[in-house]
Amino acid sequence: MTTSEVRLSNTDTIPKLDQASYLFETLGFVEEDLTFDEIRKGLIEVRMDADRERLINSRRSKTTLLEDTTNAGTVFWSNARDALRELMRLGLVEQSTLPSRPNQMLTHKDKRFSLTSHGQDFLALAAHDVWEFRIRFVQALEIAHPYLRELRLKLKDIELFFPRMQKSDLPGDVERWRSGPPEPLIELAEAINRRLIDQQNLNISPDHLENRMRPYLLQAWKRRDQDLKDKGNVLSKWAVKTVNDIVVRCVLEVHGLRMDFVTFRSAVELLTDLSALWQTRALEGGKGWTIWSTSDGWYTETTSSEHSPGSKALAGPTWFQPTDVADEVVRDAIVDRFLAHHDRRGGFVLIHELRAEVCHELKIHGRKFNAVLEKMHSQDLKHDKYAINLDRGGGHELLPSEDPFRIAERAFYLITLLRRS
Amino acid sequence: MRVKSYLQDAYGLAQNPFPATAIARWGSSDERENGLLFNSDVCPRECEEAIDKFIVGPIDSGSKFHFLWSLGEGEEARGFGKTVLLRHLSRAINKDLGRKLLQEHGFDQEEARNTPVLATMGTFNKTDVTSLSAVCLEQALNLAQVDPSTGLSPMMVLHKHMVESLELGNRAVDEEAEAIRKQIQETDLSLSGKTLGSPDRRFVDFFANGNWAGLASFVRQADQKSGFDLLSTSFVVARAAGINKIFLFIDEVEAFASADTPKKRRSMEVERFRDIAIETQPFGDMASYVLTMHPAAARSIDEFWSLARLPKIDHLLRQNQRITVILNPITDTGDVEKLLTGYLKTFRHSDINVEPIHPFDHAALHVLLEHSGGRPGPMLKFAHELIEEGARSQWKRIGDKEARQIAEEDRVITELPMRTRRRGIGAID
Repeated sequence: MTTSEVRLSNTDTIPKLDQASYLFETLGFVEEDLTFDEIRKGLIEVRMDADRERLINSRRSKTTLLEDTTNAGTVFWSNARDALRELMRLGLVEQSTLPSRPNQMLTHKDKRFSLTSHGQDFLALAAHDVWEFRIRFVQALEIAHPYLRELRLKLKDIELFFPRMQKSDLPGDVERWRSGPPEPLIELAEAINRRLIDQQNLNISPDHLENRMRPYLLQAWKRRDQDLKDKGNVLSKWAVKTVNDIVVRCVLEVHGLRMDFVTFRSAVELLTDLSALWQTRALEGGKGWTIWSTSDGWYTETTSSEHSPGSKALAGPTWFQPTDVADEVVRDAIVDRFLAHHDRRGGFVLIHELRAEVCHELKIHGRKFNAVLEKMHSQDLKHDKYAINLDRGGGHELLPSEDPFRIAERAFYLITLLRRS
Repeated sequence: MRVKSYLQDAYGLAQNPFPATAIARWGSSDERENGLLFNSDVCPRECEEAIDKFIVGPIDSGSKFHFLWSLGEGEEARGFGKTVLLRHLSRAINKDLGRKLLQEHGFDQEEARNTPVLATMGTFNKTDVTSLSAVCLEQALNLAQVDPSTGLSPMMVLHKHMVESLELGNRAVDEEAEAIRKQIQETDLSLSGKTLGSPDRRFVDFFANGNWAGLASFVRQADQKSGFDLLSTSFVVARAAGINKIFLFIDEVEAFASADTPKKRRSMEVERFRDIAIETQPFGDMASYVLTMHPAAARSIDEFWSLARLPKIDHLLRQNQRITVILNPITDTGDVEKLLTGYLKTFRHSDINVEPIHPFDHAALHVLLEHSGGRPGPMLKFAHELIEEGARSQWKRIGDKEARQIAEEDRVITELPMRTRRRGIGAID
């Protein structure tokens, strides 16, 4: 197959995976000749490790995947399927049939898969140079997925902001939402318009927003008809979430991006994990979700004798590159932003808020901030006027969307500066 | 061999000289735990800074609120010695109403004699001392209780000072008591502005009659709600004795500011604190506060603090530098040696001729410093463990090897093993 045969269709299916590690580990699982069911269990472990690192379960008192015995034999089957399907699409695992419904698990549970030669090349690269492995993996994903390319190209020019509407922003009340979307919808559209102007100076007319939102909202409410007896708080929560998902979709459409909310969220999570962009909901006054690029280099269609996205991505020099700035620049921004922070209660600032501001200002990834802060903590990187002090208190103020700052097993939530004597 | 016998024979120690916990326990009869062995030579700079900012500064400039920080990490913000430092200051002041301390810090003899001061301390906790009135009661009790190091209570010292200043030395006991009562009454009547009412009569009687056991017992049995009244009475009594400044130390503010205390209550208590501290006499004129601060506590009460128009807590503000002291970890093994020596010499048999830090050698000091992160509390606790294990294992000396062995066992292994199937492919974190 030539380059022109790599199908770049108008639609795209982004794997519904929130971590690149599912793909990486599945590559290893296939190499180890694990069955579909063993891969599924392996991915549960990957997920549990990630949750533990992000303190997800302790923060939200969630039952872990292994503790949840409901559907114990099928839980996570779709992640295993999506990971394998994606690796097949990239040309790293040989094509094979996969279950499309949980009740097909029994048929597929003992099935084994094989790596292609490019899959083996990728694993060899991972052992040799992890950064190059990650970079070329992003390249493979971008070659295979027009949506990912479009998103990163869009972020080259602008950052994306999606206002987060709260219950109080929705017209009407819970009882009225039982029978239909919040009305008058124009009021909601006006509120969104104001927030977009305030935050991004982006003026999307309320009429336009209303017209775009209405069909999606009607469709969502229609699908929900059978659940009308839900308790008020459940319905209210659903209504707010549904509206916010649709706001994201409509704003994306205005930006020329074609993804629905679920696809977009998966794309953002994957590209965040792969250092291509960074996202936060913790910017001052933002009350919304802000996403910006933390990478350079753009894919251009070139003639190549390679066939699959994976093999194309391995060939030739790399073009995708995560952006980097000097540690000292980040260190100085940490100090400057701390001193100017809007919420320095008691002399302390929440680390996740400081991270959001520093990363937004420098257009860097959260990992860079974390690495510099850790160096400042260990005094491997010093500021001439201030030392930093991290504290483990304040965990209850961490937003669910943000990760705690951690050094090894210890999570820190508050930071202050100390003048050097 | 019994551990205690080995301690005596090999180490020349009457008992393990170090505290088993890293927490100072005020009022404990155990010298190792009650802060009496505090050695200001270990942190001379911070001690001087604390005297300058918390004692001399308020007398000279009238500053009212002061903050003592130790900046570590969460639970690790503890054990720096905030509590023992404040106890040390309190004790140094109360033994002679601050005369010696002030003379050592720029006051001439006459000025120091004419500036009698008093100090007391109260500590929040998460069980029974959760309100401001309860802390006030603790402070009143602290003034009425005997300090084991001097055998005197601050009220006894105050009584003696009052008798001297009123020249009542030659009067009969009843006459003396009556004169004191009268002086207190006149002082109370001279107060202008808002007050909490007249002094508690029983308190005044106990004081005037020099019935110290009765006074301590009365305050101990008092209801927490009467904390404000009894502390106010103590202030009037002190003022009648010529005291113009009382230093009120408040410890463990984090317990008050914890999420367990309802937000509304925190807000109301901070408002009340402002009312009492600034607008109510004699507190308004006489009280000077030092609060021990903790990061989460500071953040938690800052909002109410600002709403109550109290000065900012933020230690980085330039205007707060003169009212803020930050305790730092020990970084020098010389200071570790000073810290340990203070405890060792107290329990060392006088007829034993060994190095002051025996049974430790200098290499062990590095491990103590490293393992404790330089925090005196955990350092002493670790020293306790080393002595205990040393005596049990009959180590003649405790050096680098022995200390590291115990440090390793002491370290909690928190890292969970990586799960079986995961290989960490492509992982960069």
